[in-house]
Amino acid sequence: MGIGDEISLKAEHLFSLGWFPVTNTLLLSFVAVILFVIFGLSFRSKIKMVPGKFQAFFEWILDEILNLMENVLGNRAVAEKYLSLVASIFFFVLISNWLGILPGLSSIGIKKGGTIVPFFRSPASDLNFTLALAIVSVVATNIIAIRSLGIKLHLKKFFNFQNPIKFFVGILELISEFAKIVSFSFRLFGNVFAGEVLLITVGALVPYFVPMPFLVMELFVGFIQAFIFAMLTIVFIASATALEEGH
Amino acid sequence: MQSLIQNFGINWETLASQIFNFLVIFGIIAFLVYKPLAKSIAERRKKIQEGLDKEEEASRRLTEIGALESETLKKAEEKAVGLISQAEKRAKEEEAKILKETEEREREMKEKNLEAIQEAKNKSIKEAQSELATLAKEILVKAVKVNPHAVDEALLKRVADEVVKGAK
Repeated sequence: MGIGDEISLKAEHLFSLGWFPVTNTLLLSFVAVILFVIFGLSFRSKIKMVPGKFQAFFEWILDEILNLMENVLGNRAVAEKYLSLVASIFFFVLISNWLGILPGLSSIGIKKGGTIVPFFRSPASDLNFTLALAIVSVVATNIIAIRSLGIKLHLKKFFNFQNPIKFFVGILELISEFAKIVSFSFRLFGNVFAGEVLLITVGALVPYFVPMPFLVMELFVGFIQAFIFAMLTIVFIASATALEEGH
Repeated sequence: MQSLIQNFGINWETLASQIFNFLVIFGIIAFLVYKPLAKSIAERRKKIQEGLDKEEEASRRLTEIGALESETLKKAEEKAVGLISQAEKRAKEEEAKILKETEEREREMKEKNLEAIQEAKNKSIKEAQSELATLAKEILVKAVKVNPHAVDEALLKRVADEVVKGAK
């Protein structure tokens, strides 16, 4: 892709399976899922009472995430309950981001007109991916809130007719739930998309050596964004499970 | 709004499939990775705890056994000391008894000897008396032969008595 070429905001459409359109971001997302499936199946069969290096490494990672969650949620049992959700978000975003910046990935594709449409593109540079995760996060948070507080108490956060101030606060809460989705999705999308653009631009300007620090930086950004996504989810879980929110 | 969705290429199919992808990964992490891992960690924790408990019990038992050992030793020693002192006591008693018996026997023997000596003495005295009497008779007889008028039976008796008294 030359520097003059237009960098598309939306994921490029590759082909359709019947009515189902397959984009290059979706394809890489599928690759990530396949990697997870392979990893999960091989990991499960290798779990032992006495952990090997591999198992010990993942135990350590999960333990670190648990410690972080315990710090925010204030309870180890609660942290263990929601670990799977947070860890899935973190690893899905992380692996997607790191797969997306694999060098040379964007050069494999099909020629459409004058430009190459790559087969793979970082999933988070497509708003569909980030929006999906944001919806999952916010919906999961609300489900957790309903499960721990009860539906009555949870709805009272949004629809409160005790007095006008509380009613207004409730409306604000309702709006903030949607604002969460928007901020979640655009934060991740913006960072990863900007990274893509940066790498393409730098790569087009100086193809050798110069893109290397940018690649390292994008590795870091990919990790940080995954961390932020997971961390915000933890924080929202914490505020959802708290009985009374302070305002 | 419509142009926003259009520009960012949001469509339900991709959105839904990305949500599906997430759910697949969630399932993998929850049921293939975390659940068995947590189980194995819990098992390991249990095993380690059991091991620690056992070790504690073992050391406790060991100290108990040590206490028992020293106690038994002490008892045995006490018993031994008791036995020895008893034996000593009995030996002393036996010794005293033997000594006493010996003493008695000695005394008896002495008495017997003394008696025998006395008897022998008496006997010899009697013999001496009779001999003396005979001798005196002979003397008297000889004296009478020399002067028969001067002696009669009564005088003889008186002389013999006097002789016996003199011998005693």
